[in-house]
Parts: sequence; structure tokens; C-alpha cells
Amino acid sequence: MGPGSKRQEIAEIYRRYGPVVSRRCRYLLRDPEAARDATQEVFVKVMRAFHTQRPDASPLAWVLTIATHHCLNVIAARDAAWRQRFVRTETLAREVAEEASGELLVRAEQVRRLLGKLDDETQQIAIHYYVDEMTQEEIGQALDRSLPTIRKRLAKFQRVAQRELGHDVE
Amino acid sequence: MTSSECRTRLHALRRLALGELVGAEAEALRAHTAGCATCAPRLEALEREQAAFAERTDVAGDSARILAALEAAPTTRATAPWWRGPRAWAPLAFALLIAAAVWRLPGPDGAGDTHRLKGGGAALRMYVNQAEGPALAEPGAPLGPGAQVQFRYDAGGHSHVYVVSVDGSGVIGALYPSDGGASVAIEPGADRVLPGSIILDDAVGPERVFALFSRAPLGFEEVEPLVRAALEAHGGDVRAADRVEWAGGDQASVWFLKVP
Repeated sequence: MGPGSKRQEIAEIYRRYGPVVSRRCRYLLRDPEAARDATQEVFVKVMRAFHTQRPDASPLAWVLTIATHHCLNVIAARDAAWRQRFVRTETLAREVAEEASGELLVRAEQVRRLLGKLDDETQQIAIHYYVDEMTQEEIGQALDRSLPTIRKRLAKFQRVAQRELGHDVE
Repeated sequence: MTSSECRTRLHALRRLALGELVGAEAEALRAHTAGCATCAPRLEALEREQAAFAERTDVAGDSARILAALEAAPTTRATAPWWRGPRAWAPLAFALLIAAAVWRLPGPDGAGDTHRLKGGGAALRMYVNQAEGPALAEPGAPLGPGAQVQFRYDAGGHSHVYVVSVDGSGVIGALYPSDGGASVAIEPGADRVLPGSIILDDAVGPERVFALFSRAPLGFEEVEPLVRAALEAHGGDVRAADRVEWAGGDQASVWFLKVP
């Protein structure tokens, strides 16, 4: 594939999945500038893996998987959840409120609040289930994990939610 | 997991909006969405988000940069925000934020250093960016959400510094380094600037920044217990806990008051 064709392919994929990747990065990283950096880095990873995916796989599912995993790694490397407190959040909060229904927003905020209490895999599965509203089967396929494993992680998430929030995440 | 008002999942709506669903499955979902008070606005919001992204994003430019990154390092992970423009690969210095404007920092003001403990040559000063330019923050300075602060130091003959912040609830976190590593190397001399700036959030209460200057790098595992002990010795009062018990170098601290 020539460079012109490759660039067109990238532009098409970027135009199509850029919004959902950008939203995921902003949701997890909160800082707009960090989210822009992460979005670009995610698409480099997406393009490396694009032609290796199974034909029946949902591109959206694995794009979300890559973006979520990347941002969770960024957070882990960044260290200390407290640092989130030093980010200007007012613009971001307004953007998220404008784009999401009230119920989804509340759930997403509950999930984000719990992320620091969970292992990496449970964080990712919880985001895909409660924020992306993927089915357990879709999550298992995207992450190449068995259904019992997905269910176990979600059960763990709810135990942590009960402990930390005093209620389940609905 | 779905909205309580409808069993249709957001993921399915996203797939529909992106054209991943075809045939009967797509037709059925479109028919449902057209008559569903929950799904119709969700789908419209997704379609608006797609359009807005295309309008505000330099898709062609970003795509070219993605291609350049793929060709430059096809099997290795990019570690720098290369997409901002052509430049040499830079080490990832992640945590510090913004400070896009170039500050015209004032020269040494000659004022007595209120942030250096007696007997040492190192010092730490905090500046707050204001409309008229950066201003030195006095101890206990009230700072509201969105205040942009930057730190300057006198190295006092030391080669490294570890900077942490502690708030009134006892949460301790590293400012420099920001990546979980060891103390950052600093320039010799006086009135040097620590790179980047920090924007304060809307949490309120006193906060203190400690700087531990040394001739060998320190890690968070060494610094955190020192700060924790200092805080506990003063009953959790960050305003009173102005030094840590440590003989490994020099130290300085500054405190400010986060206000609504």
C-alpha cells in the first residue's frame, strides 16, 4: 500500500473512531492536553494492530480495549490518584455533561471513582461493562478472556462498590 | 448493563452509528431507535459527536503524524507527544500540565528567602501566574481553583531535588519527579525554574510543598515516610509541619491555602 493510500486509510479510521477514543481518553485522564496526547498514541497502536484482527471482531470493541488499556497504563505510570486533583476539570465536566445522559454520567463517575481500588483487569472490564455497556460476551471476546472470568471480575467490582460507595453500581 | 428505561446497550448504538451493524440487525435497531425516547437522543448525540470531532480536529494533519510515527518506529511504542509537531524524540515528562504561555519571570527580587530553613543553602519559592505577571506567593497565600503555580529554587550546592505536596487530609504525592522515579537532576546556582506548572483544583484547605535537596537521588519510598512523620508530629497540621527529620541534605517548604 502506497503512503497516500495508507494515509487515507489512517484518516478514515481516525475520523471514524477518533471521537470514541478521544472521549475515553478524556474520561480517564481528565486533562485535555494529556487526552490529546493519548489519543494520538492510541491510534498508533490501533494502526499497528488493525490488519491483525479477526474479520468477525468488532473494530469498535478492540479500539475501546486499546484506548482503555493505554489510558489505564498512563494513569498507573503517572502515579498517585491525588494528582487528578490538580487538573482543571471545569471545562471537561461541562463537556461530559453536555454529551451524556444524566444516568450514564452518574454511573461513569461512580466507576471512575473506584478505579484506584481495583486491579488492572477489573478496571478495564468494569469500564467496558458499565460505561461502554458492552455485553459480557463482547468483553470476553475483546479481551480474549472466558465468560466465567468476566463474571468473576464484575462480581469483584460490585463488592468494591459496596464497600466504597455503600451500594452497587447500577 | 443498559439504561433503566430501555434494554438497548450504548455499545450497540455506537456500532450502529459507526456502520458496524448491517442487514437485519441494523434495520431492527434503527426501527427500535426511531420510536424509543431513550435511544433516539443517545443515537443523535453519538452522531453529533462524530460530526463535531471532524470539525474540530485536523484529521489530515494528525493522520500524517500517525503515519510518520508508524514508519519511524513500526515495532516500538512512541514515548513522546510527537503529534504536536516535528521535533526530536523527547523523554516522556508526563505529569506536569499546561503552562503554554511563556512567563516573563521577574529577576531575583533580593527579598529575604522565607522558604529556606536556617543553616542550608537551598531554597524553594512558589510563583503564581497573574494577569500582570508571575508573583511570589507568600506563606499561606490564598489560592483559588485554576491558579497556575510554578516553582523556582536555589540549588545550594545540591544536584537533585525531590518535591512532594501534602494536603490537610494527609494525602502525599510527588510533583517532581512525576513518573514515579527518583529525584530530578537540577541545575546549580540560584533562582532556577522547575519545568512546567501546576493548575490547582477546587479542593480547599492548607497544602504544603516540601523540597528535599540532595547529592544523590531519592525515591518516593524514602521521602513519603519523612513527610508522613512530620505531619503526624504536628497532629496533621500542614501549616505547622514545616520540616522533616532528615539529615541527607537540605530542605525547604512552602505552604498555601486553597480557597473556594
